[in-house]
Amino acid sequence: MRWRPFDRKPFEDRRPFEERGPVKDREPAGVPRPPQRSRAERRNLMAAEAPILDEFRRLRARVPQLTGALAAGVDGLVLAHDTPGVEPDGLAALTAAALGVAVRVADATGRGDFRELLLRGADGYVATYAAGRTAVLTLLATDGVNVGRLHLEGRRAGARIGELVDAKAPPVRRSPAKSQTKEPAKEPPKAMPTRTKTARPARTTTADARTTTDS
Amino acid sequence: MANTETTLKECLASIEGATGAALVDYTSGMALGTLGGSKTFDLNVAAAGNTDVVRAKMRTMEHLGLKGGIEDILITLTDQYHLIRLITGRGGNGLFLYLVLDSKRANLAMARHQLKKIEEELEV
Repeated sequence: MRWRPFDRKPFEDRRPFEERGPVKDREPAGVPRPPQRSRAERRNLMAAEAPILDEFRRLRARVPQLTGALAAGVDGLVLAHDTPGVEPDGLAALTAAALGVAVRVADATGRGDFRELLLRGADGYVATYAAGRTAVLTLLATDGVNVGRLHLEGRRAGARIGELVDAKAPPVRRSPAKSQTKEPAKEPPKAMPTRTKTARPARTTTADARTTTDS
Repeated sequence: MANTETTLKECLASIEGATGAALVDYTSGMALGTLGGSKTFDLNVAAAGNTDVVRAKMRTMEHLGLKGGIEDILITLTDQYHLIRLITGRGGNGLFLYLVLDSKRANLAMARHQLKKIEEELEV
């Protein structure tokens, strides 16, 4: 192997811009960041799975047109799932990606913390609700669903799942100096207070997207 | 011709004993507009719930092979009347007006008559 000077990163693309390949080959855009939690944190969150599945059963009883439910961390980790016919890990990762965009849109337009996201396809709905500080609840429903009821039940379930998850999980470490002194129950600080023109790393929002559940 | 807002205002102003009114899309269960209600009586919750009432009735009629449509639905509580009036014509398909009445003050026949008049004027 050829010797390289130390100040040179081995994988840096040093070709002129025109000669580089298409963007998609260089950078896996839209692929959520890999899970950031430690094993212990993960185990704690998994302990919330059974009560969350109970919550899903209640939801299904109240909204019969529901075809699936998934609770995931804002970082794209599945906490609990009941999604027949849909791959939960993929859905959780996509939810995290959509959430990242949604949080940034809400932030850029001054709409505050994320609360919910509704998508309607020709054959049904996908709704994502904030569940506490670190999780979201994604519901799949048929086209005939009563959206008003879906919202009511989704918000309530999101709040309850948020309580379960927040009780089990330690607060997300964002700025260690601050978050360790503050109580987790306090009003969370603004996700991204000021916007700058400088390019930021692409996927920072996925893991620390802040959400609120109170409606 | 009246829009949603004026229609709801008229419901509360001209119908004796009315305490809340909502215009609801029963294809989605969401309210196009609400007026009145209170902290303990959330009209959006009522809209979603009564959407299920309307849908259930329609399904039942379909199972029974009945050809006619629903004109209105009356629900009598111990201290309230709830009136659901389905809207017909002029793009109002799939909507209903939901009216909450205090049964001590309301005149049911009059309320029903007035609601019909108001509904005929509504243009969405």
